[in-house]
Amino acid sequence: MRRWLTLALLATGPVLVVGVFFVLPVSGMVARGFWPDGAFEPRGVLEVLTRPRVARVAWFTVWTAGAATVISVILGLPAAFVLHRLALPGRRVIRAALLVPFVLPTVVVGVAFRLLLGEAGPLGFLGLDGTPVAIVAGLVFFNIAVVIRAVGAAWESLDPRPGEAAAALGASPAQVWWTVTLPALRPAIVSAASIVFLFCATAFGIVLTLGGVRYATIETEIYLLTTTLFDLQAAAALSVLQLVVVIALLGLAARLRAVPDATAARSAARPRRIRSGDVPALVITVVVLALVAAPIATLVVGSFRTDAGWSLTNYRALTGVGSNDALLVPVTEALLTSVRTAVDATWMALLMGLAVAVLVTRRSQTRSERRVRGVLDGFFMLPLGVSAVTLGFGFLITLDRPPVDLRDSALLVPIAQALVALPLVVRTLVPVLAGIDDRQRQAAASLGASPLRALVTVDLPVVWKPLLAASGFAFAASLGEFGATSFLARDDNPTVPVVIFRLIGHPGELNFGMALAASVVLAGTTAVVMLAVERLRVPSVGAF
Amino acid sequence: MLTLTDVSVAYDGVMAVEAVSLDVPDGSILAVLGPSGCGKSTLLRAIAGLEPLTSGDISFDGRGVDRLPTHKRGFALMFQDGQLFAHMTVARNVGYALRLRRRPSTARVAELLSLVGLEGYADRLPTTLSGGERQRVALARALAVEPRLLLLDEPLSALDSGLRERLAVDLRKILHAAGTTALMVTHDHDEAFQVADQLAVMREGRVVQSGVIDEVWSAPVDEETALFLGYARVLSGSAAATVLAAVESDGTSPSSPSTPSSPTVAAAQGQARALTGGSASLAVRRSALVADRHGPLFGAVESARVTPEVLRLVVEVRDVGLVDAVAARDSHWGPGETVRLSVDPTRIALIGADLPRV
Repeated sequence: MRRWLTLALLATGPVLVVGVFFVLPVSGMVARGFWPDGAFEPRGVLEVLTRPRVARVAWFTVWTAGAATVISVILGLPAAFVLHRLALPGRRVIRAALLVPFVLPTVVVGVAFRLLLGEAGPLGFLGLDGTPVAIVAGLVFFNIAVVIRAVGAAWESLDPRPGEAAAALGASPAQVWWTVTLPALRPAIVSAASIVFLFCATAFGIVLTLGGVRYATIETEIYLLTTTLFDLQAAAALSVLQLVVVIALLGLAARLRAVPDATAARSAARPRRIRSGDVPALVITVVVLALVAAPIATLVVGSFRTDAGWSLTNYRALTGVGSNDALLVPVTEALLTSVRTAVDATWMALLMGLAVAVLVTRRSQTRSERRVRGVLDGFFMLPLGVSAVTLGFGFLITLDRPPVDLRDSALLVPIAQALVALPLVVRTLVPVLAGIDDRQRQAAASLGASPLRALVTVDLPVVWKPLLAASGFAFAASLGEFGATSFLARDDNPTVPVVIFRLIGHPGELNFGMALAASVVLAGTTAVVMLAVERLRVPSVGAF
Repeated sequence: MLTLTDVSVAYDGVMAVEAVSLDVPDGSILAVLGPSGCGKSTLLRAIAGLEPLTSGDISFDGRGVDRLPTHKRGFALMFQDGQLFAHMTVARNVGYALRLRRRPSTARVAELLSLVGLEGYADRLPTTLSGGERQRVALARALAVEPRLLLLDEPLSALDSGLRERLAVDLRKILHAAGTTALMVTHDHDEAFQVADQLAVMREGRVVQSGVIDEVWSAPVDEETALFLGYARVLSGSAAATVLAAVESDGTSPSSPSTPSSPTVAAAQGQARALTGGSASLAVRRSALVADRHGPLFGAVESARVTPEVLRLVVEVRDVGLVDAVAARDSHWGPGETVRLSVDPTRIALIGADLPRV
């Protein structure tokens, strides 16, 4: 009975928060579609789903996300091997650098790719600007880090002995890879791939900046329908479609990810020396690094360029509002707002994430208890898959009247961002907490430690680093969040990503230059945070 | 025949294996015995091709294999915990090497499973097996393609003692039946005796003694080796001489099955006088001294402990000091009582004497 009480106590807070700030807005959004005028009218939704444009948008979403996932996995696997298994000098720094794109603000990446692929860009001759290829490249740029981190972490802790046993039985390196290593890595690869697909399918900022109106995914289409066409019913219909697909996918991923024994002792292999057989993998890693570095380099170079040559003009202009009064507030003020918001979002996400992680990793004594914990685990992962646009729009239409009236509250944006960051925090903490052998706590208890004392003795020393890493992640994610924020941030109090999007939407060379400079500032801030996180050497960082 | 010549392996400049030279003749089983951390596992991994050599040569049948990658050496390696592939059934594990060579054969798999006594286990998954069963599967898997050399890394130490003993006997039988040349490393001298015919004792990266197992056993090269081989105490000087003299005077004691003409006894007796006042010493097993009404040694019982087979005594023997002794299971000895002891010459060994060694 006491167990259930603790469970309920721990669960109440996060469930309430997610309920009010996630389920309520999303269901409010969905209700708009099914109950357009207060009466249940599902035909409208069905009508929307049969529109040819919707089918086109849905297909475009699926194939770009699919292609980006496949490419990310194919390029990510060799890189994961090289960076996690070989004694490559400087591999730690490279790993940290590769993590930066993942948390870069989507808008920044969009800007960088347009600069790279645009007519005047270094790769302009390819004529890829505004094509689906550019979108796929952008998605790969973002998500390859996820594959490298998740698979690399699994690979690093993979016991090398089964592979050695196979080699001793006569298996060539290729045969070892196909018969032993790949099957062992499959859960990690599948889970990384499904997460990447999810991220790609719900990508917003990158598609919006690279695809414009011509190429739309479900996510950008929802945005378009709500902000430009005011077709709320259609937007709601698409949200429902996305929700269903995402939940199905998450369920599938969870099933495929299920590994019999998560706490099984795994020995971390020492990185081995580079051999001649590693050259192909090394070459691919270099290609990956080049692909990741090119847009960022172009962005940085572009930010220092004006018509008059190299200068800091774009950076100096950040204290102003741009040409033709593109903005209501100076960019520097937006930066302050961004940081303040991110700090708030971080502590919220951390507090909730910690409660959730403890909740879902505690050992269950009964089957029903285990089931309850499983359901809660899935419940808190929902924000991962639901489009930020849906969430943001849902906030607008449901939290503007009692009992929850937050229309003018400064907390609205941080709360939305915290929800977006919550799955990141949970996914960073859960593997660590799950890896603690419960018998350690039992040993502490048997020596006379109270549950709280046992927590301090056993869990805290293991969890404080991942906790710091998780806060870094939450901070970075919130700093770059664009989907929900674009709805919720007030015009006179925007965050930097919103400002950047405004700037590239306004004509004028200075505005574009300012967008680049602001992007560099934002990317630099995120990169610093991520490098600090990497220094914590948390093995499971970014492993979903 | 496997030949190691001055094999050295270093980790980050620290020598783990130093100038090891060994031969394993075809069809024989060599046990490399040593305490944990002595470098024996590193040696095994080096032979398998999993660790690069710092210097020295490894050759098989006169042909160098140092440059061959693991999978081309034809040496099967069996790990301490089996390392079965968890995602494959028992049959697929056993047939793995056969499939690699593109000649899968369910008949051969069945034959191997029956060789290790696991008929009917073909479709089980490794996680459903007990530790002993897993080791048997690992053995069958290693034997599948008749490797020219089988490397065993502490094959039995993960098992509990009863099972270990049974499996050790089976292992020896299976290896001899298959005619496999094998090299196994272990820290357990019982395991080594039960399975191997050749023994190499390793300490701090070096082989300190090697040879036919009985010879090594009856003539340990130094005190540390003797203790590691399972001798309970090492006596020196007059204590050793007293015990040896007891052998001489009582070579036909009813409790000692050997005749005085057995090489061990003859050698021991030959050295007896030389020992008095000398620096050589004598290793005695726990059961070297036996309670015997006609025994030449006298002592006072310090403590007695009943075990399933014998009564184990600790006795303060005159001119010798504290030693272990055994008495019949049904005899009764209490502390303080005086006991007469005879010496079982097969359970003592001279150390450091100029014994003829092979």
